[in-house]
Amino acid sequence: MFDAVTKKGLTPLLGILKELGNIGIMFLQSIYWTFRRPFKLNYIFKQMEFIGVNSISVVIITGTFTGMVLALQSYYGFRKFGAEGLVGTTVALSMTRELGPVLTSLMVTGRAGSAMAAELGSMRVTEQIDALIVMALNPIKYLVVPRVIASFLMFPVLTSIANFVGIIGGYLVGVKLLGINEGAFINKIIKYLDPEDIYNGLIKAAVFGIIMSVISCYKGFYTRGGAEGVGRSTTEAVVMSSVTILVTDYVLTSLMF
Amino acid sequence: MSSSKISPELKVGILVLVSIMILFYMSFRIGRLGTFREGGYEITVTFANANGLDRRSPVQIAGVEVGKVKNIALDSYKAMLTLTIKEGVKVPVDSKIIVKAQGLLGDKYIEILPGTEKKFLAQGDRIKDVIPGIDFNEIFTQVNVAAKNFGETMGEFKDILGDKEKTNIKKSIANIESLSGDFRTFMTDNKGNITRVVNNTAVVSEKLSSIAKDIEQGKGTLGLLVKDDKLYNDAKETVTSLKNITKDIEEGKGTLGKFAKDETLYNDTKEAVSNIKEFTDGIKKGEGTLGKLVKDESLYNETEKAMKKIQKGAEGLEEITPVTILGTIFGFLF
Repeated sequence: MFDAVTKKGLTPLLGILKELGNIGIMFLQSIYWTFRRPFKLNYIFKQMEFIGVNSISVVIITGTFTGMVLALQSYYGFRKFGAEGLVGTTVALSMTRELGPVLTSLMVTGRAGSAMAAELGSMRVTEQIDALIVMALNPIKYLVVPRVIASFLMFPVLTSIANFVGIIGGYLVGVKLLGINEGAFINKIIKYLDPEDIYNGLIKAAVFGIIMSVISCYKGFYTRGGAEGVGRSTTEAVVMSSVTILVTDYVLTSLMF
Repeated sequence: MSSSKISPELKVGILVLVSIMILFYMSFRIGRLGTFREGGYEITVTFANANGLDRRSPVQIAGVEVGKVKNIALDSYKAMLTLTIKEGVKVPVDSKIIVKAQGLLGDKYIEILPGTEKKFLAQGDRIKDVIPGIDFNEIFTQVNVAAKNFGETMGEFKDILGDKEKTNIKKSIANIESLSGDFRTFMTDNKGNITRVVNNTAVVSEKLSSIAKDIEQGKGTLGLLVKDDKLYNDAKETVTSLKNITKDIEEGKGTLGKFAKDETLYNDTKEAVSNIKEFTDGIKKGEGTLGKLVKDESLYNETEKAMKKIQKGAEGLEEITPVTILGTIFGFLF
């Protein structure tokens, strides 16, 4: 009886560990297959188009409004100390270090991660992945690697755009709308923003890209249970990616800055 | 679908290009990527303490950034800083250097106070004149040292006091005690007088203070004397006028001046006086009408008589007047 209880208690824990192990194996496999010929560049470009180019509008809107609301909020805070000039610094630092990478990653996870999980999931339930294996084509190489590489490359690109439009949005609200001294706004950004802030943000974004693509591909790849299973793995992919991104963000930030 | 004609490669290429341009733009605006474009020459300076300074801390002259701290190294237990000064900024050899902070909690930076020499620092030169900046830690340390010194002094003082000194001090204290006892008896004997004196003093001082206040405020003559410029100005003017007058007199201007200076007037006056003398002599002798008037008594007597008559007449008028007035009033009423 005691044994049964232990087993019952341990089963979910073992399941989590098993899943973590599977994700790790998929990650290592995709790294391995990345450097294996033949390189299917057109697959990668297709995924880059899907993940990167098609997400531009979402990222620009998210970034702009994040910068705008940051300027607005920090303005009301700083005004109490007469330090309105620091609004620009706040917007620029928050965007480049945190909100640019994290919000971009979350938005793209919602857009592209769900699509990845759904696509691979339906391939799995319609046995297309099995067909690939039968044809001696490695499904990791053809399905997962292009998505991981595309995410790894596109996330920093999208993040840099989000940073830029976010600072522009902050500038518009702060200087044009709230009337903060333009020179103070820009010069304080230049003074307090280091290139390291931007670069570390981009490194974060690249890491988030890998996390998102590996988790989404894993969830899609191991889908079970027909159309319902596809829906479940899509949801799980988005939730797990987002949570992991946020947790990793804390760890990366504490390591970097 | 016309957009399908554009290949995914091209779209991705454009996106990547745009993001790289953004990155380069931001990096260059922040401006620390391009350290290679900052030319200039290096000078060194040694500080006792470079606490709070960092590489890339700004170097300023009169609040204008002219360079940056390039390196901080330890040189025989002192901080040796290498500063990169921008090309075209000439720093005189006798310049002074100081570490300043932007506000109490602000970032530290280096300020160069330019000297007056015509010779300028060149690559590798060293600024020797360092003004120590205010370091709060140092201040606290100094206060600590001062307190310690004070404690030591007190200890020494304690050591000095031997037995002999102690008895002396005791004697002195006894003397003071007896003296104060005498003083007390004196006080009790003269209590009334002292109280009066004190009261009087209080009253007097109060009055004095009110007087002083009045003077302060310019009240009263003394106050005006102290406060009012007018009197002074008037006095000054008077003195000037007097000066002018005496000057005029001196120069023989005006009547008084002529009086003082012109001899014709004197002569005239003398003549007039002699004439008057002659004239009065004639009067005295009874010559002419005036002389007779003065000398002949008959005219006097007649005049006296006439006066008396007039007086009588006037008295009569006086008696009649009230009756006449009464009559007039009654006539008016009835």
